Amino acid sequence: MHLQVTNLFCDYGDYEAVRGVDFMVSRGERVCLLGPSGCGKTTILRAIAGLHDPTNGEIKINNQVVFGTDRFIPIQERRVGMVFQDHALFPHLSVRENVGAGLWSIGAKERNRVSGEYMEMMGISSLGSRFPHELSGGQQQRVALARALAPKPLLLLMDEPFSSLDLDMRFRMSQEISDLLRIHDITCVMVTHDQQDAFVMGDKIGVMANGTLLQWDDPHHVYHEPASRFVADFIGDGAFIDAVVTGDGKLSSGVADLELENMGSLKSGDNVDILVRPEDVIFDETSNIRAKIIRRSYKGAEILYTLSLENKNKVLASFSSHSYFSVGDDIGIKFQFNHVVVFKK
Amino acid sequence: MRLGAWVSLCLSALLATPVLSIVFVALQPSGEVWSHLINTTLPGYVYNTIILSIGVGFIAVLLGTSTAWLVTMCSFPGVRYFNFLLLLPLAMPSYVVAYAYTDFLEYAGPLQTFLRHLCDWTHPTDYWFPDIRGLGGGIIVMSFVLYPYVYLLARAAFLEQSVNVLEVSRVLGRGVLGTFLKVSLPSARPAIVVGVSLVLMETLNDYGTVDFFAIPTMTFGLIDVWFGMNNVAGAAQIASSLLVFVILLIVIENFSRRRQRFYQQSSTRFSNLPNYQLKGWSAFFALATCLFPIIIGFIVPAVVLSVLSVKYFSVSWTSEFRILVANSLVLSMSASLIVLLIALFLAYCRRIYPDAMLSSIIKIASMGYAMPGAVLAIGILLPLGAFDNFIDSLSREWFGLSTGLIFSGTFFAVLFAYIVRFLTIAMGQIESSLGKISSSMDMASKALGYSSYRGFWRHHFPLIRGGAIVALIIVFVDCMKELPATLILRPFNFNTLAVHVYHYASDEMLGEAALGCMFIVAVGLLPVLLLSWMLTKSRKINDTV
Repeated sequence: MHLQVTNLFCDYGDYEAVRGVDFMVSRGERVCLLGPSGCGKTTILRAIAGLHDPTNGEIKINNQVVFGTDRFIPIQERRVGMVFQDHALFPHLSVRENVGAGLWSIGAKERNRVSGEYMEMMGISSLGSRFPHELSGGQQQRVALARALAPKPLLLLMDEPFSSLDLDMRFRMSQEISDLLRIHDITCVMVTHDQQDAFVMGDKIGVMANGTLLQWDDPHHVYHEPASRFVADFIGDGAFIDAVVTGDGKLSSGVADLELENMGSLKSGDNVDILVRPEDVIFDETSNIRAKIIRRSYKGAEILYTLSLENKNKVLASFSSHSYFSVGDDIGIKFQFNHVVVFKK
Repeated sequence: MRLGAWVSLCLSALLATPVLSIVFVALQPSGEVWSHLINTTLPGYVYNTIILSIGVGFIAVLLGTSTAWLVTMCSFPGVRYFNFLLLLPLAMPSYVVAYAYTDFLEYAGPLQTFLRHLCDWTHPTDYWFPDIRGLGGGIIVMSFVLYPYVYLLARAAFLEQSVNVLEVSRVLGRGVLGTFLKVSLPSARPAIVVGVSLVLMETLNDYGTVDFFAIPTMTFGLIDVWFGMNNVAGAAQIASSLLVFVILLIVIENFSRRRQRFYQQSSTRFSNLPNYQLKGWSAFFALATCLFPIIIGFIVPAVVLSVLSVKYFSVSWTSEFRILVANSLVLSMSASLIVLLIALFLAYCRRIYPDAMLSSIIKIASMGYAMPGAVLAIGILLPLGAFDNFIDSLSREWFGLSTGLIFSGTFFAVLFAYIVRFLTIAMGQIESSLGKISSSMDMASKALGYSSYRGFWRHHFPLIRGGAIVALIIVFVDCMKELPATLILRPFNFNTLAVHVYHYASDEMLGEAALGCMFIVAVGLLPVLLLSWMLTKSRKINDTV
């Protein structure tokens, strides 16, 4: 394992920010810690970097213990690269000097060569003599990444790297950087509160809340098979509808009957919530499940409708914007689940 | 804890000793000394100090606030230059102004001689002329020199007022004056109070003026009891009663600074303040209001001193004078460099070791800025004397040798006083510059393999160099001007320019003192120029936003 975090606990005085987190990252893997602000994700990143002393647990980088019961390796010896939310470029150094800032132990000539190499890799070769304040947000981002990668770190850590960019730029940069990291086989842990960033960047996503890790999975599973109600709520759009377990593998919601693959601990008569994602709802005028449109948000290629079912449950539905309904319209729908996700009430 | 944290803790504890030892003295039962003081001189000292403070504070507010409002909100001929010119009196130590006016207004001085010629008077009995040397004169001299503190803070407060709020007031039907009295002034009040408390700290600190004008204030009394009556215990008691005033001022200042933060929410909308176009009489009146404090506080004393220095140049410009200049420069430069280094070290330590203990000790140590120099000197001499005696007795016991006084009465004591008194100024500058550097910069520097020490010189220092230079210059000039602490603590037969000027003035030899005064004023102009340069720079940034 390239990075191994075991039973990690961190606190700030009386406040327990991280409570018993475990995860592993293989070489070349890119993972995202995702969660609302204050969930402890940044604290974990800082602990891995060596900027925060955990109270308990163990952290191994490249099979070497960097934090353990009797061991603390300071950040400057951990060989981690870091990219910050505000990029934290040194304003008094040129782009070339910024990229070379971590290469202080080697000679000037070699330093120039290596920084040149990384500037080329990030597509900023022409900006070498500029200063940070003369760069756009995206260019600053590239400089920050080049600077972090130039000393060839064992691990790249990124703290909300895209949140200072505007929406359009953000998507482009996250895709581009994701490709770059893949090509160069760089192991990376990123922290974000934005699921879009996490879906683009992460081979694995760790969803966090209140200092604990709720789910550690690939993006597809995190979205389609959330492990808890919090994860289902936090990731993606969606709504819950009331249902009752009517028998082995059978559910009834009052508006539709469904099949359940895995009963788990559920038994007949249990009240449950079924997770309905917008794409699980299909328009079908012939269906006898009727719904009333109560809100409409136009999103361009599709339109997100809020529908009220006959049992007063509300669901979201995403239809192509080729068809167009008005608020108050009564339409027929049906449900099409890949995988039915239920949570016991 | 790491080494840096320990060193910073010990250093700040050392710097806090003068303040703590005065508090310690104040809490000691003093018996007879105290009752004697109360029955004799102390009530007079307190009375004069209070009257002086009220008078100086009142006039400083009047001058500082009115001029600040005029230059920020109005437009009249020369307003651009007044921004800077109004700071000029800051270059004048009040004792220098006191000497200049005494010479200017005395019987044989230029003004009275001129009046006698004009009116054919021949005798002092022919006419009445006010005597500047007294409480009233002291109030006028000090307030016209110290008002720039109020001016600077009030100006900044007016500049940051949201133009929207002012416009709302106008829309709601208030006139220009009504808006000033009901909106601008109340929201600038915390800033003005901070300015006044700085003015009063300087007033309490002053020794040169009150000594020359024979106003028996508490500072005057302290040094008189010490030197005149050789009564250390009495001086210490006066020092500890002065401390009450000082602590009151510190509390008021801190309280107002906190309120200031709420009142002056920084907004991007202050670039286009109302620009009342003044014409005719109102323009003339505005011009006169701004010109008046500059003439009284700078131009007249500067002209008087220049004339005197030229007249007495041959007797003043001696090799002894040149040695004094060298003394002052070397002492002030080394003190300001040491202060800067300590400030850099402590500010950076406080940044990287967020430790409550360190912060509170630094807070105590930095109370030194509010201590009158004379009080501080006592706070230094008491523990230092005790320490010297302790070493002396140890060495006699072990080696049979007397070491005498090692630290008291040496440069070390003077330097120490300067450091304690001026550290806060430097710390304030450095910390505000450091505060502008985001904390992720520290992490980035560490993640790239720099130790805290190397990272500081490579990444932080280049960014705060401007603030460091400003701190250096301000502290340097303050050391050059410093009188009471130097007077008490200086080694035997060692004089600075300020002490030299004081001695000549005490001997009524103002002509011989003038060249030294001019030199101090010339040096004092440095930070004023710097300050005005920074003000115009920030103004430009506002204009382009």
